[in-house]
Amino acid sequence: MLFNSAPFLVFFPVVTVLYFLYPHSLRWALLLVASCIFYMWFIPQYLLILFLLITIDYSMGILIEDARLKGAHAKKYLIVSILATCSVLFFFKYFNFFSLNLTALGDFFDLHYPAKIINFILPIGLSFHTFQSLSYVIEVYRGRQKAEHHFGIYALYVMFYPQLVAGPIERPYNLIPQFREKHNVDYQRIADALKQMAWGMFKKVVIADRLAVLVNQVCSDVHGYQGPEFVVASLLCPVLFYCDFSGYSDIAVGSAKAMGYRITNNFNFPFFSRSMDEWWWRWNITLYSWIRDYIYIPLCQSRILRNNRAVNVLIAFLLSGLWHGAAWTYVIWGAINGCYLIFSTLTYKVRKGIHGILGLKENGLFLKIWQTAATYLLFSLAGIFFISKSVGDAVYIFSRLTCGWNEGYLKNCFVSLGFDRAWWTHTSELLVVLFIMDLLQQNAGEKFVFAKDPVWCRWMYYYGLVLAMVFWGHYGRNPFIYFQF
Amino acid sequence: MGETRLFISNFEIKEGRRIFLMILAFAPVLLLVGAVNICVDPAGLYKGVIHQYEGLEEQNAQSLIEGRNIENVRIDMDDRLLQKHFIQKMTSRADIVILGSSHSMWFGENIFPGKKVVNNSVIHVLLADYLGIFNGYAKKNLFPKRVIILLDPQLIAVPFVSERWLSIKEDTFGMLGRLKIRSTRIKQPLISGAWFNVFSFSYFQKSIEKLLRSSPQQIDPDHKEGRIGQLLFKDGRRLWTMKLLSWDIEKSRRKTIMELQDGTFMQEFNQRKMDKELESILENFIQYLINQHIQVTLCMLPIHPQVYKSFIGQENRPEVLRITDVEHYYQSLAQRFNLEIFGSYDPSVCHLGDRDFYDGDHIRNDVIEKMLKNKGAPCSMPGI
Repeated sequence: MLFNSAPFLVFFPVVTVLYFLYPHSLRWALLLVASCIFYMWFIPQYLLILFLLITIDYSMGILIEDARLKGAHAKKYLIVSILATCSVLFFFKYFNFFSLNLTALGDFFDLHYPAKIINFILPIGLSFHTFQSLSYVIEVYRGRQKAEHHFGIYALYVMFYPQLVAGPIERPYNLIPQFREKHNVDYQRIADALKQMAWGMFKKVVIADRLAVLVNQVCSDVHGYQGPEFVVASLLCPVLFYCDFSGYSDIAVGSAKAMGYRITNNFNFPFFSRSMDEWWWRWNITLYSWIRDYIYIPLCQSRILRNNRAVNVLIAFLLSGLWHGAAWTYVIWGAINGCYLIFSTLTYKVRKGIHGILGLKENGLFLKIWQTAATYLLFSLAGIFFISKSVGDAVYIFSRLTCGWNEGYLKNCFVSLGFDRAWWTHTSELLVVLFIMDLLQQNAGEKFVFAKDPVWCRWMYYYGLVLAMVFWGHYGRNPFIYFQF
Repeated sequence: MGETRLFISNFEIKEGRRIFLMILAFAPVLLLVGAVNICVDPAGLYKGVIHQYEGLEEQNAQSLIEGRNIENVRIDMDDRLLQKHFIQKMTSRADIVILGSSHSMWFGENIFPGKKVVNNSVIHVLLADYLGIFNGYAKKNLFPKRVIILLDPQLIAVPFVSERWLSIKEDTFGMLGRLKIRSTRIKQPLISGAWFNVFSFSYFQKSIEKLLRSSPQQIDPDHKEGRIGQLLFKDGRRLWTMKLLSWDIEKSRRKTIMELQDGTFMQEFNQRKMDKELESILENFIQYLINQHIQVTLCMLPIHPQVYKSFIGQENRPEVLRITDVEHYYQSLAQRFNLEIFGSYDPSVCHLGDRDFYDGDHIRNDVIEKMLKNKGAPCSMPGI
């Protein structure tokens, strides 16, 4: 079920109302059934795969804890669990990629290995719930999380519908205890949740789906365009991904919050980051903290790579790229972002020195704007690989970035993209609204941005948001981009 | 605070009431959307467009039978009813009958000179329409020599019937009876599907668009100069509005992108899957035609390159009908029944580009004519 579809408009209030009407002891069952229905809306049979994963990791969690308590070797269970979970992920997501590359490699060495292709559709959100499952077994192994003996509660931890298909990837110690807490109907909390959901929906249906057409248009036919279109598409793609994914996350967090659950916010105003390092603390937070805790830190603690921070960063980002999709474009995207981070660390002192020589204050407005813009630009450039259909397309885009900057071409190129002046004006206005709202919300912190304003002012905002969705929303059932991961 | 039987406290009930009132405060927005949708009703969902023009379809059918072309036909005429009357009034056997959709409206005597061709294409066609229309021939035992069936992808995906089908409903049941099939796919909904659109935001946007753009003469069927309606030729072939004749590439490109943006094309494919029962009905129908010694030709027409790309790009979405699977099925169907099949959904197979389309959905008439008549080319019509 998509958050931006009519069935969800019925599903969400019905589940939320039933949740509060149910006795506390049975609420987990209600949520589990609701989550199954939510997931089965896509491909019902894939629920079995999910339950297979759940059963394996549930059993392994208990076995790991038993072994730890008895002083036995728990690592073997952890390895079994990781292998089982990763093989499901590998089979559905990476098998074809691996097979095709093996064939290409074989051809290179004149060894002809026929590529085996499996024609399964990738289960929705597989990467998200496998990571969530892995996080559970690893935490049990590390002793930071007790093994969950209630199968229903554990299943719900993996399947909790607000974050089932596209995260946020929750840690077991944050989510599992909440399933045992009693949540009451609370006007303020539910009102806050609905506001967050409305804002998320606005970002998705009004901004992201509008920008998606332009970006998809350029990426699906790269040979038909030149530098100006590529620059616009690559500059808009971070906003597109942000509005799409953070829109999804807001709806996820909001729908959980309405029932009393606290889910981690996945984005923290990334466009105000002043360095790539800061960017990754603000962008897709739960994924990158997962990678940091379960890949990067263990690599830094390993015997071989203990003193090799740069290599560890690169490995972590390569894997993060591969996590997004089984294609070389994603791997290269990850590698570029890893290189940014390494370069940023290596040149930190030099850049500080230059700021000193130029007399730029660390918190001065000019430096802030420069660093924020440079960070955004770097992310946009790397994003070309993310949005391209193939490495060849991405290379073509890079090679053409400087072409077409003449008056004759510029005059017609944006119109020939299919968008009239009104579209561009309206899009620019929406981007300004997004920027101002994010700026205000960042300054307001946890509180709702208009919390201190008079009632009429707040209601103007609510009505404005709803009317914007009514008049300008796109309701062609465009799925969230991160569903495919 | 006493516990109630519903496991929530009185305080919580009060809080719930406040939330309900807060949500109720947005009711005016929904009422506005509903009122505009019903009043403006751009697609005629609530005004009952069908049968709105008493006798118009029959009059038009009579004109066609008399061998006259008709100018400025209302675009919102019930074209299923027109076909029903057209076939009812026929007295001689046709050489070729076209069963198709808006995509095949230009198939006619222009493609098959010297042959008696009847184009029975209707807009937004579904499989039930083919059955219902062809039952008209079966009832009169006036079978044509050859039937060309346009295979749109949605033919073998539920729904089997649409709201538009009601005027030939009895005939569809009639044909199902001839095929000895009792379809479980015809379900009369308790509430008309149109009422689910009352609060639809996208329908509201279309309503506003219509409010802002429409001028009285655009919907006036008697406005001769503008030729806003259709030209209906005596062989049933149709030429869409003059707007299409004044086509230009930029307008077409913009329209396609806008329609891709608002999901117009995806609506045909979303939440739809190939349906075994519909496949079986289509196969039975083809077998029935073969049993009547009718030469059957199957046809797939290319989709606009950008729209095709978009469909292919979305094939990994489980809720979307996979166009390559549909094409594969139709190809295998032709092979099994040993039928002629031509064309492809993939525009590159037929060497078509952006310029060859009026919009994201329809090939230009001149291009279609050239493509079908181009003997030996990949998408030419067999047996011309």
